[in-house]
Amino acid sequence: MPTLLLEIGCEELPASACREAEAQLPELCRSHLGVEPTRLFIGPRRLGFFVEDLPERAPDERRRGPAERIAFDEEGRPTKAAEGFARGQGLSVEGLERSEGHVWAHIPGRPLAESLPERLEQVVRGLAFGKSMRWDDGGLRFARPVRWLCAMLDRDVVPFEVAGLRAGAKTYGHRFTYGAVELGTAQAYAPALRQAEVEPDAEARRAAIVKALPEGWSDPVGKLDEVVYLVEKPVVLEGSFDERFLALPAAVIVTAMQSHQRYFPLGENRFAVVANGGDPDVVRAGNERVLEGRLEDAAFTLERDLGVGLEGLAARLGSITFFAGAGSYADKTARLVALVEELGGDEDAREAARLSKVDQAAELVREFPDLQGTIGAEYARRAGASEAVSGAIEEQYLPEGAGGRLPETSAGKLLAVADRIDTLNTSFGLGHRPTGSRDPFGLRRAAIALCRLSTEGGVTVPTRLLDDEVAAFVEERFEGQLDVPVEFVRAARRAPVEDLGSVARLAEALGRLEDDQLGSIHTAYVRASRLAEKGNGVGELDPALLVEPAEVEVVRAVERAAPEIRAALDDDDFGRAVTAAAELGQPLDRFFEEVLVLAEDEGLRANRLRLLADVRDTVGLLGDLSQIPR
Amino acid sequence: MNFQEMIATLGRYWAERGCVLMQPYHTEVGAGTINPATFLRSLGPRPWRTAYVEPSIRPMDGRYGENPYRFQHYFQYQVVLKPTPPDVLEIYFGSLEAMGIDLQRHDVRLVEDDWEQPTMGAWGLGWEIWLDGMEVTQFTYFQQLGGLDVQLVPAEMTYGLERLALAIQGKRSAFDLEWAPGFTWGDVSRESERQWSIYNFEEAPVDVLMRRFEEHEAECAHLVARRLPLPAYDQVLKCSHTFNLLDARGAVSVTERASYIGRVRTLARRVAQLYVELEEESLADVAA
Repeated sequence: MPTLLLEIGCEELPASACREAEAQLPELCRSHLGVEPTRLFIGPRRLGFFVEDLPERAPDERRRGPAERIAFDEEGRPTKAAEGFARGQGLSVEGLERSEGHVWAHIPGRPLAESLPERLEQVVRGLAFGKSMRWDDGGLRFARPVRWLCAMLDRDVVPFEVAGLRAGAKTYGHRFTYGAVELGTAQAYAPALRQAEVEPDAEARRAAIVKALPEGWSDPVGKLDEVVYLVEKPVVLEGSFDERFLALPAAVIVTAMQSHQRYFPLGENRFAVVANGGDPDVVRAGNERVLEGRLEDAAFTLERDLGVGLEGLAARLGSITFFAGAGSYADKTARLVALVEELGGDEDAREAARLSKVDQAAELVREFPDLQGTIGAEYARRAGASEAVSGAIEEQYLPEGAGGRLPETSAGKLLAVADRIDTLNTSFGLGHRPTGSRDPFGLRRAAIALCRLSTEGGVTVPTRLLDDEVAAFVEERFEGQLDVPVEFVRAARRAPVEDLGSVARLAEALGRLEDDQLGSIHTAYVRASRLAEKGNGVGELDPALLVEPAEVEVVRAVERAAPEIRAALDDDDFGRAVTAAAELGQPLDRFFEEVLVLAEDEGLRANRLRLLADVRDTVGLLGDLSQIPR
Repeated sequence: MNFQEMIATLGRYWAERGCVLMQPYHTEVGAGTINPATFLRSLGPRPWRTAYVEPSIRPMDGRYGENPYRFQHYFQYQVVLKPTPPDVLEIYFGSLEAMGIDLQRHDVRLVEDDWEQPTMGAWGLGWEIWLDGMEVTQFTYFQQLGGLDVQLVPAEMTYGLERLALAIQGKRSAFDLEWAPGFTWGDVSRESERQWSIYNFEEAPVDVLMRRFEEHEAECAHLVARRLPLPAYDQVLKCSHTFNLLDARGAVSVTERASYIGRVRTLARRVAQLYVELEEESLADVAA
């Protein structure tokens, strides 16, 4: 079968655009060529693919025509509508198919070679990028300008044109060492490019980079995925910087290396850089100079911050706005100290809270905003703070997402909780509720962090510390966070428990109930609460009016279960509480079977309704079970 | 190659490629992009090619002449080709070769950079161009300026002259760069960095600056009403610089910051619209 090659030659594409194209090309090929590409060639200057098993004909198409009742009259004769549709498709009316209430035209695929030019044009035009641009009046939008097209079917050029560019047999090698490369056949593509100092296969580049990186390399920020798309001819070089810069906070060095320069740390003062060619000595020396310049700059900034000192920086917090309407960072700090205290924090936790935002006044944080917390911790350490305090400052922004690492120190956990509570309360208080996909203050992330800190982190977060709207917003996050159906969370949210973690653990305990156990207390709760509403809910249960044995049994069951559930809830033993409630199931089943609640005798009726109110309140200690659909 | 030879070489190179060699603008700008020779001329339907040195004035970035990488006054070399020729990158690389950079011995890379200047309602896509890891040029295909889509897409190349010189001369401190035989960059600029840092951070009069901002803003609005976009645009630049000074003085809170930026952006938009209107009218006159 013939081999088809398409290469879209571009000015240097961002890594993200390369990945978008990589993800879209298989589907684009399938819909326009009928098969997926057998190989992709994705790199900064080219998006290409091979199809090695191109079918002879394009896939057949079915086109929908008018509805059957319009296409045929009452006698079943074709109408003008049917004839018009058939003619438009190049068929006779007899050739139309009828199904799903419509008529259809079945169009057999043309030989692919005939339609290939327009199909390739559609593939090129079909690529869509998150960020795209114009560069001339050709009308094509792309992630960066497209400068050439190379399209071949075995030995022949596939002639097509997009936005004024005509496809040919020419591709281009390495930008600075090779020029144009004329291809004799589609199959010659990859070897010809390798000859021209370009590795067109992204996976081959990745493998070559990984293989060439010296022992001990690391990639803490995750730059390898980008670097693979930054070079066409990876050359891995090892460099080093002056050891005096090791006095900088390690995170500053790593950020300068990785986020700014896309280097891979090798430990100590060594690093690896992936170049795209050049004379190794020249390129190494240049990169060493650049990194040292960045570190020198950071060292200057660090010196200035240290000159001001930790308390000096703290004194500046009053003039830095946290955000509009929410006071300064000094105000925020005071709120954090109070919150940490409410959460039961010890002296270390309070001191960590007092110093937690000091680095917002640091120039180094302005240069390295991602290192807030880390830099504050470093400054605290240098000022002689204990590890308990500085560790907590370092961990205050954890966890960063749904899967991120949690703080480990107890002060760090409390500070992380306090920070989230304050951000949520102040933001909601100012009306910054997230709407749809808009959440500029990161409140969903803050709420999820609070959920995780209260469950996995084991911090007791009293719901009373959250404003009502905030408590509801945070508890709603459990619906997505916990591995139980959302209705169990909704049920547990209505239980009289006082902290976030309890809501979660109760929901989970309810979720663990066997189906028949849940079924019987669920039925009991729903029926009891429905009926209890008919009573006036006042007065005491009158033992003298308990005439049926089933009634007596329920009373005894409630007397046993209620204190047991309360005790279990006090012990945070939600499993036991749920099991204790389940004990009510059988007696209640019997009760509803044998006892007429709405008895004619008014006294009996009132007493039974009173009993059911007790049942409802007892089972209701576990939440509003009517939220759970049965 | 010393600093002034670099500037001369770039001037020659771009003049040979049809650029009008402009001069630095007479009002402070934070970047060559907002010199009207780039910002306004990139708008509208007329082709344009220009190249010029631009002193970049950024009060916040001063370090009293103590830090060899940060300055409140440094130099950019600015080139605009409108519309963009298809071989624009090859032409740009040629300018590096003209300065003696052997592209086969160095690692020259184009690293994604999505440029945005919210104060001026402007954005574009392009790259940081790296020479052995040093960002020596910012390359941008403008897409919007003053909130308006560009009509002919210009390519803007902004060379960071000090960084380029560090790479070319193999120096570690901008102060040590040779500007001319016998004179370093530090000889020319260091004392100025010290004094201006003191002014920017300590002496610039906040009350006066706040008043001036309002005055420039009002004057801009007046000039727009009189349909004089060019003088009106200078008032936008003065507003922008006054804001930068206030920022350096620490006189702008986070809230106020957004509001100042919004005010400058509004002015920039109105001037840009008026400029394009007049350009189109004058072209229509020529056609008629």
